[in-house]
Amino acid sequence: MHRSVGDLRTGLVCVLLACGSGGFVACASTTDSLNNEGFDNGGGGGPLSNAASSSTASGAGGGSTLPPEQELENNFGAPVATGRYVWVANPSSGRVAYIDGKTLQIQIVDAGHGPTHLAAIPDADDDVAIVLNTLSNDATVLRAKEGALSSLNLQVHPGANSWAVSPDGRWATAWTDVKGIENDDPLDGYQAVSVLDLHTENTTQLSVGYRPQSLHYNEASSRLLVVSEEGITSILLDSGSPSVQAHFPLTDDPVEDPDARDVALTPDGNRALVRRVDESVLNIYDTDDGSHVDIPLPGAITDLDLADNGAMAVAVMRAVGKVALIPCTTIVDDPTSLSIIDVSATTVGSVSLPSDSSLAFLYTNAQPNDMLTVLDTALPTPTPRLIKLQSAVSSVFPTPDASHALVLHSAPPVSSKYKSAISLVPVEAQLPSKILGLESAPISVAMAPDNTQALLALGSLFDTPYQMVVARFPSLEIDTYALGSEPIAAGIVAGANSGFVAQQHPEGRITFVDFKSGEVRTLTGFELATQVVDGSTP
Amino acid sequence: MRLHNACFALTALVAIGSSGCERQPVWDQPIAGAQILGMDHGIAIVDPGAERALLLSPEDDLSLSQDSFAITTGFATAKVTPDGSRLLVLSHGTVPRERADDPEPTLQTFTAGGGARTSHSYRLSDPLSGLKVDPLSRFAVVHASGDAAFLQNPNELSIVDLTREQTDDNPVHLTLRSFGGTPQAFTFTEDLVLPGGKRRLLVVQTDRDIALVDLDAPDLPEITIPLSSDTNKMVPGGVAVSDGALERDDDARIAIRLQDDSSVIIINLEPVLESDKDDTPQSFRAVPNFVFTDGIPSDIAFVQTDGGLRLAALLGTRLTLVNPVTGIASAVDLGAQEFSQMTIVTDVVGQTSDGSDVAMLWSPGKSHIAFIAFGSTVGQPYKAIEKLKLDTAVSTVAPIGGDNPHLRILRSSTGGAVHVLDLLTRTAAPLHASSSGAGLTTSADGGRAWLHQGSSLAKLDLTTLHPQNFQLQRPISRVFDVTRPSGGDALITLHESGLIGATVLDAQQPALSTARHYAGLLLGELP
Repeated sequence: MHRSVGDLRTGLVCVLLACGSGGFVACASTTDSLNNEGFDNGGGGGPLSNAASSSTASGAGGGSTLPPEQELENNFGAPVATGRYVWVANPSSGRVAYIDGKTLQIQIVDAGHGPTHLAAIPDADDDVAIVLNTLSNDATVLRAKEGALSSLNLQVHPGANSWAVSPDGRWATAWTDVKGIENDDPLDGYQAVSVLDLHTENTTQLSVGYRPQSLHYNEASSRLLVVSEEGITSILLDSGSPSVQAHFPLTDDPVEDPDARDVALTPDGNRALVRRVDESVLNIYDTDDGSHVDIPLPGAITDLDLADNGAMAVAVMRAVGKVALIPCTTIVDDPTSLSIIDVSATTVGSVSLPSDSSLAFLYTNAQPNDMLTVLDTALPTPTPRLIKLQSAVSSVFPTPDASHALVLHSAPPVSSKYKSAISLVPVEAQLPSKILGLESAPISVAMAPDNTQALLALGSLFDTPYQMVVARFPSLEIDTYALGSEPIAAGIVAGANSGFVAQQHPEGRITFVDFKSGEVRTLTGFELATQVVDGSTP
Repeated sequence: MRLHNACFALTALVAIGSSGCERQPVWDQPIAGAQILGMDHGIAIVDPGAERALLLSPEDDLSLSQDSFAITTGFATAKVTPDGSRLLVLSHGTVPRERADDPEPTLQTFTAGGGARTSHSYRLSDPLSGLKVDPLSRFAVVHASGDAAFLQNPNELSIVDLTREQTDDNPVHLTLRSFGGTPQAFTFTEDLVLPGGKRRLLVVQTDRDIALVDLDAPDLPEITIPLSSDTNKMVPGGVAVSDGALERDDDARIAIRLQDDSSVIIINLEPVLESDKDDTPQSFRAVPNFVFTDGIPSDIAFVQTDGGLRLAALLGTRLTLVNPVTGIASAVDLGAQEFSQMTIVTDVVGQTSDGSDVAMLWSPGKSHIAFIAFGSTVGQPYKAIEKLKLDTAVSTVAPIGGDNPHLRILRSSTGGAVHVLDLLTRTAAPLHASSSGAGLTTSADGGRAWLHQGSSLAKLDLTTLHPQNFQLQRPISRVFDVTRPSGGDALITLHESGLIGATVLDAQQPALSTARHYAGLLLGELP
């Protein structure tokens, strides 16, 4: 096996979000490195859309006849949760509602004109969120402190529709994701980014490569890397005001389809791992100078994921039944540390990495396959453990500690009366998994950070009933609740030990479930509740 | 004063003679505009021209005793409390008041019968014309209603505690906080167990918001719940109230049906948050929440099901049951027939075995009635739906009190047919009148119904459904089945032509031979 390893200082990208403020956890999205890193999706769960439409470099089966692997764990933008609050923007009224996840008290604050895109800001003391006001081209920073709320407005460039927030909560960058724009014009490059310094309350507008795809901060929050169709633009944040440090392309092929590549950045931001559809070579770029090394692997890479702690990258090669374990901290200096594991006992094409464990969950959704493979990447020669499930796997959401996993199954056989199914899989205890048939398909999943709960929203416009499912670990209890209207996203309010499902409703609707008591309560009409006048204010 | 038949003409002559040929001004006043109301022990005739109210009570011998009370100048309207005990007369006084001794706007109350005779007067702040009376007969609300003063505040209310005399704090005059709306309807709640204690609320619907006035502390600022957002104007269309569980003080709810909207707003009355206790004068807070009913309901009611409290919203051929806590709705298919009205009849028919409510559904102009027993059976959120098909369309449903609360009288659209509906047996006995448009009155004890048309009168025994027909000498305009102060019941049939005549019969054993006839009630007690 030929390996060409350069200076691989790798890290990880994972969209299991944990806020330092006691935080929140969004959907347990696992493998979509094309998603925006950071807090741009707050506590909202991940909609489980058809992967083909949302995934770019999902793998083509390494020359096999199988279709691409599907990545179903995309993120959803609104609402967002901070430590204790859920924030919901109302573009029509120009207000943002923030709901106490414990008391369910609703409060309203004025934002700018057309508040639309919300993001949670990590903060050790307060609950902080930022909202893009799309009609007034500014952003409002909202800070809830001991029941009182303050706000701050900062300018952003016109047309922004996404956020990237630094791990330390100092920087929030507004950018334009072309995927959120209908009928985009090819001459619109969306190359402006507005870097907001929330400490000095200044905005710096910079230009990056053509059509940004994702933004990543390094873990020190000193650098912002913008992955675009043209390559990677590096922005320095710790040199006075933010400034563009460098830009380099990610390909030598001028006609390469940028949507055919999958870029993952290490937590320190020093390396970018790039895989391409139908390619067996993994490129590792130095984000300082743009140099890269190529690592040939035995087969086309169908999925690539980085552990949250940056220790390991896992590349899956479905056609050859292999998995490459790439120790990100050593591989640059010791190319032999790259190990290839045979996983050919069953077909695997995708990988999910939990945030707080060395286990890797391998599966395929390119073909009906009811096997889940678990691999301990911390072992020098890990032996794949196969877990037989009762239905074909669609996607896997491990708990952060990997003690359990929630498995979504793909369409059940025609003989089944159900439209979908989930399994709760005890991984650590190696007990039998529990399967539950569902009357409608999950559209969003959220995993609690304490490893004890998973929350699913089921149903869509043409797929009823609308339901909310709470799965509990390790008991494998499952409770199902009806929802009043079509769900949008599920999320966790970790500081309140509760979950929520946001739903379609002209006045706004969220159903909360208290994980401790199991009590369910639906709030509808956020602004109405705040307009009650009781004589306490003349 | 005790009056006998055929004495009214003489009374008039004596009155004229005794005045020394000086004709009193009252004789020149028109007699039009008299308002006649039934009370528990008689009838009241408010005679604005003579600025007086006559309270007529039948005696043992079917004679009418008469009490005359002076009313304030500028009569506006009169009502009787639902318990039949008090006549309320609202007057504007002299408008405009130019002298200090000009009469002020007042609400007067009068009781009479059985020898008792009382009156109270409550001074009001403005000459208003609207009067709403508490179904429990304790409070009255005076409000603006099409008044034509040069400048008027339509959000001004006077709340009168009828059980107390006028004091500095009775009536309470207040102006509702307004976001542009004006009062359209008033609902008096029963006692609600709320944080801070048991109390009654006045729910005021405007064309854009809801105001909650604490009737037990009306001087507290009201709680206003604006219903319209910047993008969506919502107009209240009806109210339902639930006190929730007796042992809880945090689960009372008020549901607001909206006009032209598929949502119902449920206002949860919850304890004030600890963080707000120092800032609010209230002991409870109103937390509104939308529930989606999947259609614009024509009627709403809180119902008890085996799954707990639900808000029932009637949507023609469907009934939506909404969990007021979770907002989760389930639908009940009522079949092909449409219903628009819903009445909870659990107190009559009793709860189902699992403690659930029973509701009667009907619709004006339709010939079908349904009963729905809430409580789920497998696969459906109700236990049973029973339907009755009548031979004519129903226009009104009249409740029966007293000994027969399980009965309802259904009037046909033409008035020519009457059905006596038995809620217990779910039967509807038809009765046919020879002519359409008959008037209908029921007795307070629930034993009788009276129908009249022209000079024809019929008594219907509601126990046996046996009709008894009579032919009076004069056309009947209205009848009142009242309790005689000395015991027994009397029927006062009114002949509202000229000076208003009356025929008084024994209501339990009516006979023309014992009836008494009066030719000019408005002449009684005139100076």
